[in-house]
Amino acid sequence: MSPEIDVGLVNVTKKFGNLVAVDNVSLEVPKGSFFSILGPSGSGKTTLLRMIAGFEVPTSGDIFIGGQRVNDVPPNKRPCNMVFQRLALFPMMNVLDNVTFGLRRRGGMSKAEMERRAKDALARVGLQGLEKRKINQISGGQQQRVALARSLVLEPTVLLLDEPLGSLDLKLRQSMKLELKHLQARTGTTFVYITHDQTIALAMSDTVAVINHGKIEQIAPPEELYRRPATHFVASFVGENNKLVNGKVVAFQDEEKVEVDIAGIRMLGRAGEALSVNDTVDLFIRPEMITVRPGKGENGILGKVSEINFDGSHSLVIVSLLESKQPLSLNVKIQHTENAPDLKIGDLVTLSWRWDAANAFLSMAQPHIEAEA
Amino acid sequence: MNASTKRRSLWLLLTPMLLWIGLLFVLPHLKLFYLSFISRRGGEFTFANYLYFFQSPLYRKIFLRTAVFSILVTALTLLISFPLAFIITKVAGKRLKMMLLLAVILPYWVSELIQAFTWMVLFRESGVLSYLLQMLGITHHNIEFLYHDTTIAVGLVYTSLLFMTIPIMNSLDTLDDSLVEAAYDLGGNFWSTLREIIIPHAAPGIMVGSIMVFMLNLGNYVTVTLLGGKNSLWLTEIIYNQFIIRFNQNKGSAFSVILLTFSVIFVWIMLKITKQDLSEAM
Amino acid sequence: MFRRNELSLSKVLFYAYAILILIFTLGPLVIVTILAFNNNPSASFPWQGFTLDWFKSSTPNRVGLFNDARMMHAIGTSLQVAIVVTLVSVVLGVNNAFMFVRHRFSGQSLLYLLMLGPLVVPGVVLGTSILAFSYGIANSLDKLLGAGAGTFLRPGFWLVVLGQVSFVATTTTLVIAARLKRFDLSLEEAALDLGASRAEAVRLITLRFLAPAMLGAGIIAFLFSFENFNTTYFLSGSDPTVPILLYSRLRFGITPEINAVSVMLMIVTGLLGFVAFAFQKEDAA
Repeated sequence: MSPEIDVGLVNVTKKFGNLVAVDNVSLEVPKGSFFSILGPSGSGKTTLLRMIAGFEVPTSGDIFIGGQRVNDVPPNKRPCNMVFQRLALFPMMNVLDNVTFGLRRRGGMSKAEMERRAKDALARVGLQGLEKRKINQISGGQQQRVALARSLVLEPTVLLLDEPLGSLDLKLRQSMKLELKHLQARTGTTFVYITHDQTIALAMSDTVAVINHGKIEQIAPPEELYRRPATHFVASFVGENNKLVNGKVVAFQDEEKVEVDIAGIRMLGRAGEALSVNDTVDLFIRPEMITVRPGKGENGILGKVSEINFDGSHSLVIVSLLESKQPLSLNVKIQHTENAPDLKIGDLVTLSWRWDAANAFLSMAQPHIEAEA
Repeated sequence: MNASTKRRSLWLLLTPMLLWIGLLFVLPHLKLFYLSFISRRGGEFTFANYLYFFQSPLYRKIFLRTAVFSILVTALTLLISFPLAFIITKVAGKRLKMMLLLAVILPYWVSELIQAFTWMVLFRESGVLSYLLQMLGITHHNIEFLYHDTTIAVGLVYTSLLFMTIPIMNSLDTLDDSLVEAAYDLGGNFWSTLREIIIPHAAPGIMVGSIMVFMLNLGNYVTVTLLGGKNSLWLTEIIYNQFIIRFNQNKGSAFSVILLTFSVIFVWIMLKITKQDLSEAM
Repeated sequence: MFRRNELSLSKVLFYAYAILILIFTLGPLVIVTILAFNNNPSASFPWQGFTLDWFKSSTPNRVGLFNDARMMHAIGTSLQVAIVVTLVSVVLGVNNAFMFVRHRFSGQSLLYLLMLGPLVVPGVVLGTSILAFSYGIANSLDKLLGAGAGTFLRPGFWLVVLGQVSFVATTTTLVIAARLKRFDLSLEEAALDLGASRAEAVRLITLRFLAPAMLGAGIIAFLFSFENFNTTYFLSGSDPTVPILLYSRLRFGITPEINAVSVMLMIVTGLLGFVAFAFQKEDAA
């Protein structure tokens, strides 16, 4: 295991009775990076994190932290600390005692030194002067910071975060999201963050691992994940998408560029996985990647505006396609810029997109496999 | 925690628990059961202890009296407690509510013995009630109010009040006021609303309270013997007599088993009727 | 809708009823309290002036409670019993709470029902069963190890303690388990994560979290023990507890001193009860 890798999982599997919660997962978290594990609830991401923290023992496979195999190391001896989903701040202690708890367990340090370090950690998360407050006397955002400081003061090799922003309201979540990213950059500590919220994962991470049914679907930087999803699941789970089902592969224009027939309309797309002619595929198209031109134009798909939903910075326009054999519509996101087209319901429009803005994947045998379990 | 530490810690916790419940509850009751089928002299197996109880007209009378009396007191307590619980949860303002709650709980904090004692102070021949009646000129000599069934009933209702009122309060608390308002809105009057909305909603609390009060009365000793005197004729009294005065553990055990069996059957039937779970009811 | 302001007939009836209840429940307690300070040796009315004789007098014909050696001794016995019972029952309660809340095993629900048993069984039956059981064991011990070996299981201090623990521990278990159920397990994991050992996590976090419930359960246990009559009556020997001594005296009539004892007990148990009540309220919040 290279020293540049802080957390390494090698063929890790965890079973609870007959249930396979984590299925043969391998991944590497580079030193000093912000690594997210993204997946729907029940996907096994919490179990994965708890195995890294030491609260669960893998059924098979190895876990490495800082180059050491830690399978048999109990949680209180591992060089990683965790920020819990519901924070798990100790309600019977004040802020300072919460932050010094780990230092006191470690010992070998004067009381004054512990307090100095705790105040230092609290300052790093932007929390000063509240040392003597009880946990229930500070706000939710402040509690987040205490939880972070409590772990960071121990200077762990890896900080594990179990969706700690989930309980905050939207505004606070947005600002904490940025702060967390800045904090990570400043401290240089490796963060492993698990979440079901893709906006958080995409905004903060250097690398995102998407997990579903205990299996890793894709590990990639956020932009690649968004633009070049590797699997049907990633395409449908990450970001908004138009999903056009049951298309047929007609021809290949080159290795990646594929022509698909959907309800009688020819569309271009990128083959997300190995496809061959006559395969049944679903086509995923990002709403904001579709260009709308008023009127009937060349090189595009003809449609009629059937609905316009104003949403502040942009509008969501629903366009019914006029040339399809079955009723079919596409969602289009239009930014309200100076040269945005002026649309009304009933307008005739022409839609087009760059070929690699659409991703084609084999249709699932069961159409909603990601919704089961 | 892996499986073997988990197992070890379970046994560590299980041992004191089993010692407690085994040595102080299960085994003593098995011994009681065993003794009740053993003759006092000779020590052989016999039904005589039970036959002795059921063949004696006096004991049969005491058994019936205890059971019927307990049921009547339970009903009386319910009649008093229900309006009280209703007032506390739905009518009273904050101050009256606190006062009534305190009035229900305060006697409970004082021991049952003191409760019975206060009634003795009021009811005895030279007691407060007798004095009051003479003051008012209603009578001119002392009257003994103690050692009547009515006195026993008053004392039992007094000790039972809390155990009936609190469960009913708990179930009435969850009754949404808008349900009552809706019933009125739909043309119901007070009695129909009470019968069709309030009482069905409070039924679980009523059952829990009734079971608890009945059990407490059945097993009562202090209140009954102090307010009823030598002729209180209560089941617990003859159990005590067999054990302590006649030193007949076998008959005493048989009587205890009879009391226990009767109360278990009663609770079981009540729980079955009301489809409640004992662990939930507690 | 019953809190509307206009004065209706039903409202008047409700208030009249509430007042009757207040008289019924508090009246007797108030009267006993007044009589405890009444300078009338008949322990009844009429009022003959204020006195503290029934508490502290030591003349031969008026022995106040503080100078009544037997009563003071009984109070001492009751306190000793109650303290031991409280300690044992709270420890057992914590133990049982961990067992029922933290573990799942076959037969658990049956064990839970058994655990509730001592609270459901009439106190008299509990007392007789423990008396009969301990009597047999004490006899065997005497036979096996020589006379006197089983004395601690004959009616007396330790048998009273055992008898009271049998049902008081059920109550402490219920109170403490109720709070343990609300404990967020991730607090213990957080302590482990921050470097605490399992024992430290339980001691520093879980037991600290349970402390209010343990204190509340302790007060309830103390009250239950101090006031218990039914079970204790069968198990106490020559050293009676306060309720047993009071009972034996009451059978021979009422003295003003008993009024004084009652008032003392009312004040002490009332205060303790109030503290327990406040704790449970805070606990629920």
